Amino acid sequence: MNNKAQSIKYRVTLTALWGFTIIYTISFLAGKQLFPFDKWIGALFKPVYAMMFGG
Amino acid sequence: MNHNLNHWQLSLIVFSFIMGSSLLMAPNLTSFFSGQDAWISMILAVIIGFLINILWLFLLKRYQFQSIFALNELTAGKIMGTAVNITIVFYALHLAAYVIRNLSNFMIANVIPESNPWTYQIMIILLAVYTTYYGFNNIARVSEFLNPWMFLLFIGSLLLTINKFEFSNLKPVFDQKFVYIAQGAYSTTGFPFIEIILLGSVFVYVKQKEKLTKSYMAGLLWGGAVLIITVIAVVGVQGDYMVKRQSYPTYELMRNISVVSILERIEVLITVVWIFGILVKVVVCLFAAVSGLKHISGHTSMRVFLLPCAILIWSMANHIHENMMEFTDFVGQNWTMWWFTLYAVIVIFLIAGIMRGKDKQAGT
Amino acid sequence: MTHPFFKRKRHISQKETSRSEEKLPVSADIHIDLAKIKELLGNSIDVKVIEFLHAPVKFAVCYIEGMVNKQQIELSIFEPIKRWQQTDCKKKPEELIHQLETAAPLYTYRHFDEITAAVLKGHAAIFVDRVDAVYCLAIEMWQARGVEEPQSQTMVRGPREGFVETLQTNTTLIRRRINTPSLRFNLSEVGKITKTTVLIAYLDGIVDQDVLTEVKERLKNINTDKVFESGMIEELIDENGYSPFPVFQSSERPDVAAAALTEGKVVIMFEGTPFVLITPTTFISFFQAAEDYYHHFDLSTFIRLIRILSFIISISLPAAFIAFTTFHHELIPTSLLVSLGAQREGVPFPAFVEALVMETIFEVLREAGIRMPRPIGSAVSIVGAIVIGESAVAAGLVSPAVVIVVSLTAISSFVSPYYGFSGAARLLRFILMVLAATTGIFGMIFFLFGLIIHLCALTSMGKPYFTPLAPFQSGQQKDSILRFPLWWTQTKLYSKWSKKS
Repeated sequence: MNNKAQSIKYRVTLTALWGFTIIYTISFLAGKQLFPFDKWIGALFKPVYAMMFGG
Repeated sequence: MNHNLNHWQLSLIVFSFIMGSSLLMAPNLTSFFSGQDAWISMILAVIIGFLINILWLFLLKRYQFQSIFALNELTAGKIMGTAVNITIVFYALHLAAYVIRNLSNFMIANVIPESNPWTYQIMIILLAVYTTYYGFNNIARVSEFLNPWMFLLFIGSLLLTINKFEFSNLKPVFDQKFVYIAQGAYSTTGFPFIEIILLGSVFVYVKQKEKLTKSYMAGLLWGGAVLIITVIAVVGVQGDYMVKRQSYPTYELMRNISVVSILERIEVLITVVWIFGILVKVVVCLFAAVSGLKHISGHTSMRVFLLPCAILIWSMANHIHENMMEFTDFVGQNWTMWWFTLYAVIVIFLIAGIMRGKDKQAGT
Repeated sequence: MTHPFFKRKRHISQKETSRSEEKLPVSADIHIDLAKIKELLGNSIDVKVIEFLHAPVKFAVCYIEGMVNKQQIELSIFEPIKRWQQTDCKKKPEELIHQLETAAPLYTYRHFDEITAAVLKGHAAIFVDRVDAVYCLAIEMWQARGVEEPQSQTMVRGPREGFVETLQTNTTLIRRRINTPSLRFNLSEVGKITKTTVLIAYLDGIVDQDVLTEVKERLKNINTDKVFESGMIEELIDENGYSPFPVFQSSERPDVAAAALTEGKVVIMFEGTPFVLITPTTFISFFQAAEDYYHHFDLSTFIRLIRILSFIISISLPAAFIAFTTFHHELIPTSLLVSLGAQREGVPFPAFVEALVMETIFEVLREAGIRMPRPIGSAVSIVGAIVIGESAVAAGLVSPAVVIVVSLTAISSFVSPYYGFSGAARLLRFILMVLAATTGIFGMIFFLFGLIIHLCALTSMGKPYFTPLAPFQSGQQKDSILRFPLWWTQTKLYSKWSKKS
């Protein structure tokens, strides 16, 4: 059984998830926008939207 | 944890998901661009959503309805597949955060203005974690029990508004340019008809696979029909001038109910329906996220991931946008594109997989 | 996988607690045996050892006073043996036991642990010299309550018999209602100290085998010293430890138990209590009284709907009152709102405190009403009715509307045919009141969703608790919220409909 590989993968995933959650929550509570997802997504799709509906 | 559900329960889940949070939003989102032709936009959106989901289900059927996470690894390879899976998890959490933000926005803006948004956010997240903890079967049963009542409440409150309906509000038909009608359809296509691809993580648990496509599509069309009726009723009663200026026009519509003196101000009823739809949506997102994480990590249980996911959803819901205006703008402009990208990526991988004969390997 | 955080450990490896000397075999010498049994049972005043050590064949009888039929000892043991001892022919010790004149079953034991167990259950143990066995005669008899009308579940029409504390009587009560050979009573024993007898009753061939094995498995795995009532068993073998909802139906009525058996359920009966446990059970079965089947179906259906309504009232009425008067004035018709406002004029507390205080007072009165000695009962009701009902309003402490709400809630909570079930409503009412006071009607909606989630997650012996409703089973709707006529399955409509599905 690949038990060991499984548990390493599990630990990495869980640590990454918790890590991201904690960083994000701290950034939220501190009022700092470290991950402005909306800006990134907006920047990505702005040209497409402008092309479709003309801004 | 029991995840099994039958095709009837799947139908109802799809129905709640489609109807759920769009019930209050759809009239404004469509009418904002297409005015009194909002209902045409809505029909267009349902048709596009139908086509998108037909293709989606057709592809998944070729793969014997395996879980989308397993399929991504199969079709895109181990590394790319994991990357796509992580993206899906992010999409799911992101969507849950938006839905919850939507709920608390609504509560603060319309229902109990002096209260704290966190109360509602935390309450609905707790409910979602509670039901996901027991597995997907639980929400399936809950929706099986509650959906008939919700449907009754919805139909009942809609019927009560009929005495104020005026056809003149819908005329002239096709007055707007087609671009505006399409623009109205654009925002309601992504929300909710593309979002629903998250249910791809559930298909593997449906018992009668041969009935899956039919019941899924039935749920989708019923949900779409309800949205179309809602848009017609809202615009017909209030006129597009009003609808364009309200964030939650369906709720405002119900405020106007006045049949006999006792049946007044029963907008609370439609809120129950709406909150239930939101709950189903959040649960589907949460379930997709934790089952994706379970697949990525190769762990046996998904319960470990519930708590971090819940915290992340909560902080994201609060942090992702500063205020309501930004929120509405963002959803109106980018949401459909954002979800369509994910859809396109997965679909391309699935088609490429079929070409390379990978679909024969699925489920073996 | 498992989170041991809230989960209790069910399977605790049981150490063999019986002492090694109890495994001692019976010797052929009666003196040694008697010394041994006296040592094991101690010199309690109720343990009687009657020795006949000067008779031609020495023998002794050991029993516990008050648990055996003394007259029968006299007539069927002493008399015939004495007669036999007085005859002149040559006597073999083995023949002694054949002299007994009785229909009671006779057991032969060769180890002391078996003998003590039998004696403690009310058998008479007969020791015979030069025989390396002990005979136990099951002539148990003790003072028992007669079969009376059940106190906790009364009804207008239907049998007046209720279970009693003695298992023997209870099995008879069931046997008399189900005259089929497939009725089984399976014996098992619970409690390391009390060693209480538990019977698992079922109809062979109809019972759900999964449930039956599950029940047996769980009863076997109980790890406890003492059990005195079926409620304790219920808590120990229940799979959802923290739920306020009972997942066993406890009934005092033999007709209910018999009906459950014929539906393929398992009935757990218990020495020392008139309450039997019926499992697996469903949420909706707590709204179904036995009487429903004895009345006409339309009336029964109506009564069931009333019960469901009163369950909803007893959970949510005070909360709804708080929510409406605190947050949602617009939902109350204006004239009523004005009169409510006039009533609340001068009441110093918010609606939540008012309702909470009244509910608490009511719960106190209710508990006092159950516990106090009977003769004082009327005093409490006078105090309750006058002080709470009128003086509190007159003194301006509470508004009359709250009194109405609380009394209506209280009366509704008595409607449930099962006491344990209305307890759940009593507890949940307070949680709902807090939610209603903080977030109004939306708190109540969240609570409703949480409640449904909880009910859908519950299982009873591995079977879904909320079953004919969710997962929806159309075949069982004939007896869930509504009661269809008993001849429903013979109608054409039914046969057409069942053919379709």
